[in-house]
Formats: sequence, C-alpha cells, structure tokens
Amino acid sequence: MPRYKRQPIARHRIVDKLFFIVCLSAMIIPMLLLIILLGDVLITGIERLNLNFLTSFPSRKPQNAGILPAILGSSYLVLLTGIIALPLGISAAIYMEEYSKKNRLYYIIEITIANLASVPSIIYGMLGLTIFVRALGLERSILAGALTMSLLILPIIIITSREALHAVPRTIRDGCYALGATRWQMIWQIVLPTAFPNILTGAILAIARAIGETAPLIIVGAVSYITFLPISPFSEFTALPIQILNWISRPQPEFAVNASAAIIVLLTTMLLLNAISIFIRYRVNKQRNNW
Amino acid sequence: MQFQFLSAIVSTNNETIGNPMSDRQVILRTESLSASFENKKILNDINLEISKRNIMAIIGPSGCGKSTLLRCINRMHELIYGSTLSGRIYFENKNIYDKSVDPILLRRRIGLVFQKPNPFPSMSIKDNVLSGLWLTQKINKKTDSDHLVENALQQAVLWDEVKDRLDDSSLSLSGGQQQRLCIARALASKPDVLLLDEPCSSLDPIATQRIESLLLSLKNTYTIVIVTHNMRQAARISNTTAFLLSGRLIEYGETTHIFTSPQETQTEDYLSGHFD
Ligand SMILES: Nc1ncnc2c1ncn2[C@@H]1O[C@H](COP(=O)(O)OP(=O)(O)O)[C@@H](O)[C@H]1O
Ligand SMILES: [Mg+2]
Repeated sequence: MPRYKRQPIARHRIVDKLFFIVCLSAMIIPMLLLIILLGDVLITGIERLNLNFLTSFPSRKPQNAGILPAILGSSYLVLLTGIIALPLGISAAIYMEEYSKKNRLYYIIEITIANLASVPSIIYGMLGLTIFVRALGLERSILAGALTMSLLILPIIIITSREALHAVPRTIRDGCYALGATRWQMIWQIVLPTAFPNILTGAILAIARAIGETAPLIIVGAVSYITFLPISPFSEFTALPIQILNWISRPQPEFAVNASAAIIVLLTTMLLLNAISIFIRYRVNKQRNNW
Repeated sequence: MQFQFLSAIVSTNNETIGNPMSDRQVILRTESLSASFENKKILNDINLEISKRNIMAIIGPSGCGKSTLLRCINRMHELIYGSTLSGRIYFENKNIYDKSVDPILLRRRIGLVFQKPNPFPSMSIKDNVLSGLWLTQKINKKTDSDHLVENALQQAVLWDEVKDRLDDSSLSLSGGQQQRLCIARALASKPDVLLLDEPCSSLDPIATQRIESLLLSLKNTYTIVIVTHNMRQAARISNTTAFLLSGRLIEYGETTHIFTSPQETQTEDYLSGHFD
C-alpha cells in the first residue's frame, strides 16, 4: 500500500484515541463527584440508620428523632399523586395520539405541554398555593400537596406516554384493523398492551421525581415538625425532602447526621425506582430487538 | 427466455387447475375504481372481476398500486390520512362503499396479510393466532381453543417449528416464521376472501413452496388474491392474473392466456423482463 494513503489513517487513529479519552473523562468526572458525594453521605449517615430511626417521630433531641411521619407522608403523597396524575396523563396521551385531529389547536397544545414540562417546580408550588390551598380551601393538606405534585408530573407523564404510544408501529395497527377490530379494540387490546412497558417506565420516573421534589411542598405548606401520623388526605403532613431540609438548617451537627441518614433512605428509594424502570426497558428491548 | 419458461410452467399448471374462468361466480367486482393520496392518483379507473374460490395473482412493477388495490378491497385505504377513493367495489353484489356497509364487519370477511410481518408484540405465538377470534368476539379467552391454534398453525406450515413454545413471545420468531404466523392469524378468523400482499417476500424457498401448496389447498374454500413479484409463483399457483402498470389495469384474464398470449404489448414486455 502506498505511504501517502497510510498517513491520514494514522492521524485518524490519534484523533479517535483523543476523542475516546475526552468522552471517557466526561463520563468519569461526574461519576466520581457523585461517588464522593454519596460516599460522604453514606459514611456520615449510616450509623444513624437503624429501625429506631425509621420508626420514630421527629424530636428536639437528635438521637431520638426519626423519620416515620416523613416516610408515611411521602408515601401517602406519592400514592395520591399517582392516583390523580397517572389516569389523567395516560388518558390525555391516548386522546392526543389516537383520537385528536392533528390541527393547529393540537400543535399549540403539544408545544404548551412541552413547555410545561420545563417550568421550574417552584412555579407549580405557587399555582398549587393559589388554587388548591387558598381558592379550594384545602389548606396545608396532603391532598393539596398531591394535587400540586400531579400538576408537576402531568406533562412528563403525557409526554412519555405519547412517545410510548407513538412507538407502536402503523403496521401493528393495520394488522389489527385488517382482522376487523374497532378502533376501541385496537387501542385497548393491542396498542396499550404493546406500549405498556414504556408507559410504565415513564410513570415510574415521574413518580420518582415527585418523591424528590421539595420546593412546591414548601410553598403549599408541608410542615416539618409533626407529632402525629397523617391519616386522612386532609391532614397536615411532612415529607422526606422537607424533613431533610429542616435538619440540615439546624445548627447542631447531630442533626446533620440525621439528615444524611434520611438522604440515604430517599436516595435508595429513588435508585430502586430507576433500577426497576431500567430493568423493564431492558427486558422489553431484549424481547423486541427484531422489530 | 423468461417468458417462454413461464409459459412452460403455466401449461403444466393448466392441467391441474382446469375450470375456465367463465364458469365461475364473481365474488368481487371493482367498477371505475380510482384511489389517491393527497391528490396523487394511485389507481386509475380499475374494472376488475374476481371469481369465487379461485386464486388471482396481481402482478406489476413496484409502486404501480398493487398494495393500494388490496387495501381498497377491504376498506383499509380510507384509514390513511389524506387518502381518497371513487368508484365502487361489489362484494357479493353489494357495493362495499355504500353507507350501509360497516367496514369493520367487511374486514372480518375479507382478510389481509401484509408484506411486512406484523405479529402483535404484546402477545404470545398462540395468542396471536387467536387474536382475530378474540377481537371479533367469535370466542372468548376462556374458550378451549387448542385445536383452533393447532389447525391454523398446521395450515400455515408453522406448527412443527413452534409447537413446543406456543407461549413464547411472537417476536422470538424469525421474519419468515412471523409471516407464517400472520397467515395463520388470518386463517384462524376464517374469512371468505384472503388478500395476500407479497406474502413470500421474506420467506426462504422451502417456506415459500409450503405456502404455495397451502394456497393451492385453500383454493376450494377461499377466494385468494395474491400480490407477487415472483412471476413463476404467479404462474404456478394462480388461475387468473391481473397486470397493473402505473395505477392502470392493463389486462386480466386466465393465467394461461396472460402468460402465453397476452393481448397487450405492455404485458408482454413486462413478462419478458423489460420492466423490473
Ligand atoms: N401512505 C401513503 N401515502 C402517500 N403515498 C403512498 C402511500 N402508500 C403508497 N403510496 C404511493 O402509492 C403508490 C403505489 O403504492 P403501492 O400500492 O404500495 O404500490 P405496490 O404495492 O404496487 O408497490 C406509490 O407510488 C407510493 O409511493
Ligand atoms: Mg406493495
């Protein structure tokens, strides 16, 4: 082979190597930061993380304080949010993807939803405060918090569900019609089951977002010091991120330890949810690799 | 050369097929059928008769409108955004584009197998076979249906390959197996007319041969319309052949006549390989 043909290939190899190193460090640096952060939290918090911590009420004495109301409050909040936001969001996605005429109004709505997904969460908090807390008189209740969270994750659910429905190929729908199915049957018996794993992944990620959000809850008035368990949707409540925030802002260093322990609980939950969604996506992709 | 070769196939085939077309009852008839997408005319004034219990092959170069014609016959064309249609199609002497005809019910009687295999990804192999029966409520999920599944899969020559894994995902099958699954799915619903759009384009020669013998064996119970790019296949299995070119029906008639003594020079040119 003539020499002049080899030259550029050698150069491409070097460029290729350099690019690889750049990409690798772009991945490793944030990973390292994350690991340091997590390691720090883990080392500080792990000693406080015991059954007592999980089953106690907050207290003025750091070593007695626990996160039971926060765990229950967060669970209650997320449950209600899911019940409100998932049916609404998925129905909206089905309507937009399967029924709506693609006219100008449709595109305006589509753009609006995309914009809503990127609105800062604190704005949703203010909306919730105005509508649910004040106008509807729900006060500082779990319901007000859940409705606010629902508004926050609704755009995310609509967008991910629409993508999931959109990914069901035209040929599958045609196959269904050709067997003599109605549109209703096509959607319920073929399209939704086909899109279900992806809808579920989106829903889990949205729920994980709701667990971690703090700002809107502060605004709609979640309280941090609570000495009873939330029972009805109308009771006052606290949530994990609120509890963490409260402990961090205290002067005593023992409370920082409590905060770290609570962060471990919060992060474990979120990582678990993300892992589930990744697992579902992996299973589905593996199964459908010859689509 | 090819042309003579095809004539040879036809003449041997002719003895086994017999019955001239004139004896047969017309089950489907298009009358000045035109179809378009967004003002682009795809089919132009098609007048075609399809007789009952008979295999008709539709041949013609890519893009001439063969798939569109099939989709018009079971009213799938109208599902595409921006499509229009004019003219009439009579199915058992009733215009299927009449307001009183429900396209859903019509499609249950006129099945369509697509060129690209499209098994339902959320369903197992077995459920795919039964899906048409479920969707049309001919049976429900509790009905004991093992024999229906076996029957349909046997007919589509897929049974031996999948009998041990009927509950596996339909996507675990190869492309050719998926296509035979789609044929089984269409057969399980027992339509009167079976439209097949290049069903063998993703099959190997052995599976193709099996599908061909399947179609020949179904000829006595079903009316079959098959779009094919394979002239030898058309010659081997069809009684009648229609030749489409740029959205026009150039001619149609008994396969023997079309292949040995076509009336139009365009048909002759196509058959001797001037197109494609
Ligand atoms: N969904 C569609 N929208 C617009 N044009 C289409 C669509 N489907 C097919 N066509 C056009 O219609 C013509 C005929 O297509 P088709 O019936 O699929 O041809 P064939 O099956 O004979 O290859 C082609 O020119 C194709 O580009
Ligand atoms: Mg085609």
